[in-house]
Amino acid sequence: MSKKLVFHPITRIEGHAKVTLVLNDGNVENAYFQVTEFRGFERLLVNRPIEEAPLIVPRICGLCSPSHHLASVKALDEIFGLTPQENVIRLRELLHYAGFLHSHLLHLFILYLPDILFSDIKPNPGFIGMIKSYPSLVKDVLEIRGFAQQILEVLGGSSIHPSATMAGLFLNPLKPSQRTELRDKASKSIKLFNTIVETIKDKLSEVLENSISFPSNFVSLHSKSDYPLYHSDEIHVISSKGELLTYFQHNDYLEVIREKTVSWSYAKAPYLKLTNDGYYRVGPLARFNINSKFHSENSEDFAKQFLYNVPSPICMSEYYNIVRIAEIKYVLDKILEILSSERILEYTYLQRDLKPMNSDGIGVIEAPRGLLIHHYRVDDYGYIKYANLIVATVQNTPIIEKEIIARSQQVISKYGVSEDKLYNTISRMIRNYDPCLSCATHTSNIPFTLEIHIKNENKVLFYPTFSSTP
Amino acid sequence: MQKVGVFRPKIIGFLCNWCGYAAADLAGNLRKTYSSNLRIVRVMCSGRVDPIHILYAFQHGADGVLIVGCHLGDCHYINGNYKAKMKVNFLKKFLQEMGINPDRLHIDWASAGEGNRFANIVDDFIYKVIKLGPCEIKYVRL
Amino acid sequence: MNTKLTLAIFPLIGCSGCENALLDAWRVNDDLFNNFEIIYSPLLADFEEPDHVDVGIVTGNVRFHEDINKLLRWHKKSKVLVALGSCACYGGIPGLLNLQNIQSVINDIYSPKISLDNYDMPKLIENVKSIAEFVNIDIAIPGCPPPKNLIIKLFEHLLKGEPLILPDKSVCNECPLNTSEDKVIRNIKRFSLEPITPNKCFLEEGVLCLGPITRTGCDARCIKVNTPCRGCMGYLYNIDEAVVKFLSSVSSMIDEKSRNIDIDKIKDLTGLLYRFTLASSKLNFIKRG
Repeated sequence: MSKKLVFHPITRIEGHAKVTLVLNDGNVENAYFQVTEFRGFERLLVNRPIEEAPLIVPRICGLCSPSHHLASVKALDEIFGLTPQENVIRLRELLHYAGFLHSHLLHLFILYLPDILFSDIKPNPGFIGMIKSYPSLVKDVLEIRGFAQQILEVLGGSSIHPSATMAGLFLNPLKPSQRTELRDKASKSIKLFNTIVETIKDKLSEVLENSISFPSNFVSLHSKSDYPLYHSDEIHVISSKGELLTYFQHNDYLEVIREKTVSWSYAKAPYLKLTNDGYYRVGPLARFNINSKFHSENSEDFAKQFLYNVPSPICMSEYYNIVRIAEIKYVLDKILEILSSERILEYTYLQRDLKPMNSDGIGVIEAPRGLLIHHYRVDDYGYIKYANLIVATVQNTPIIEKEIIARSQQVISKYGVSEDKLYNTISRMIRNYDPCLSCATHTSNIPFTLEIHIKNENKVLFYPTFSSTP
Repeated sequence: MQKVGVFRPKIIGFLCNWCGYAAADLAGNLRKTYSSNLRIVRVMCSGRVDPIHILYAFQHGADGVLIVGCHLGDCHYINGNYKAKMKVNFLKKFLQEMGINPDRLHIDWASAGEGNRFANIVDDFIYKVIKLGPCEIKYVRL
Repeated sequence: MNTKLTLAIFPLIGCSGCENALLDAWRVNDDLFNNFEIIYSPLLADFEEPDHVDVGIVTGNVRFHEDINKLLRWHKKSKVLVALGSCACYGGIPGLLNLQNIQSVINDIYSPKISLDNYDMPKLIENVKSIAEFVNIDIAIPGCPPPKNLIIKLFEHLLKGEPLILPDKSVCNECPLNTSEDKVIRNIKRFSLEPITPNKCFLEEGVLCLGPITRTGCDARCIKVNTPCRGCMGYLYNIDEAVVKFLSSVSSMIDEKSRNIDIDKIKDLTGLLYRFTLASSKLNFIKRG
């Protein structure tokens, strides 16, 4: 007899979701990771002027708004055929890194860490428990987060939903006094973060407890000279064994990545066209597996202790969190590096008459949660005719679903059908991916054949229904 | 009682005191006949007509709105009719986005001596609105 | 004796930016916030939904049928109900989807034969709505994201009863840009696609900026980084009235003798003027496609 277990809501993630497990005689038959949220940004962008897109898309997500803002600006650069000046890129990178810092710190210390610190308390008091039991840690973390927010405020006007870049431009040049103030804070924050990591070091082994290796493909930006977050040479796809399956330029993304919709969730399921088992992971782990080198001292030191001794590619989702710490260190180093050079001040804010040069613009960036693709198509006057957004979290959802099955099987074989244990394991596993579900829910006119994927009680069916080209 | 099948549009006319209204007056004195679907609101200047008045009319069941002012350059208040023209241009764009046919809003000019012209403007506009049919939006409370 | 006021953060469909803004405010002023105890917030802790709460903060807009029930339940539970953020107050940017037929949006992804019911997915309502359509809000703090100083004022009000009055002036009052006396628009320009004189009023340069009708309180944060105001703080008057007033004032600012005026450049007035407030508009928009 099959039995349904529903875990609703999954807490301490961004957005609304639930998990439905279908059990049959103690075996996990199926799992659905259901995103119970709907936003529809791709549809509401249609018919809006292209220059408004960077002001609208940050509202997709309150945590990674700088990434959305910059991805859409990169797409605008392409539409208007512009190559931004060196300094514009530096300032944008600064904005992006600050967004990274802000998002990673929130996820690691406020959403995820309580899982380890309060693993035996029920219900898990989360951040509120941390304020009570670890006030100094919280204070330090919030201070670094405050630094990130200050950068965003100074450069982008607001710490959430910044709005200072436009096609080819950075509208708000940095002032000399702001630079020195931020630079001093950056070196302080690096020290502060190092001490934080020292204090939680012994907890990191607990992070890796019960981890299981779950092989999958990985996709991320790749760069030879740097750890690519903003700028990259190309996008790499590697298999679970570490071999390079393919690489492509960002405007060929449709050749490699496809999306299908599933009937149990408002989120779509992207997959790789070239493989049979086309699901893949994105995010910190994918970035590390593909680039395998941080070009900064601080994070190299950390990686030597925790990451380089694990056979690559790492397929355990717990390692997402370890890579996240290394990335925070990398990002802090980068912020200091950018702010240390006085050259970012030499920036003239040149405005030109712009006409759309290309009808399509694709902006690809590494958001905190993984690969983010913004694709706009405009008419001759620069009004959006079609928009497609492939957001980091949505690419992870199929893998999350599969991993739920594996994890709950493991729990059931150990402890029997215990709802508490299942909920803890599943929600903690989901949190590894740092899903951001308000990002994940989009609808669009999809320019390729649409497959409706129905999961029946027993079998999986594929129906090609219709194809549409915008 | 309204006959079934006959569409009698409701038209609101905002007429400027110095020209449009005077022209309507003259048309009456001249015994000109024109369609009786027009409900006239006298305003001091066509520039006085706020877009909210026009939207209010549409939201309350008007099928068309007609504004008649002095000829461009002849405004009693120097440039009120230029402003009215610009407002109508903007509002037409807005009406179109709302889903209302922008042809339901019309601005025209008639001096105090042009009673015949006024009657023609009204008849032409009403003919156009009849062709368009009832307003796309239903009555709503603003 | 527990003198702490209990606080619950109820999330509807939103981006979590408001919770984030709350955390920001917390960092700046933790003495004030120590007087409050969060007893429910799915983003921050696993607590069960409480039976009673002193202050219930709702973020996000209403998108699903179940959201309405949730909202009514939360309204009953909380002594003071606060709508935080523009989504809760006005519907926010997702409200722009109200211009389109939701069924056609859904049909784009789901074949009509397959219903979502089998998997207990929540059902969409036709239009995005603000929470004010369903319950009485005691306090509304607009903004996308809500400004830090307003959040701090809100908590001072909740704690000490200090009056909380939203500023009744427009963003132009805080705007640092230079304006001239005559206020004439000689050219209509699209933001960032055509050069404008730096440090001059956006409207005078011909870029539509919603500063004149937008409630201040945000410290003109977008204008300070050279981006025109898009009205996230909501309007000073009734929404439709404000929008129409804006249209009317812009059209009377236009220099009638200038030959450069090309209002066909403006194609998306609704998306501009109702960017954050479409869901609360009383006007009847005919749906497209």
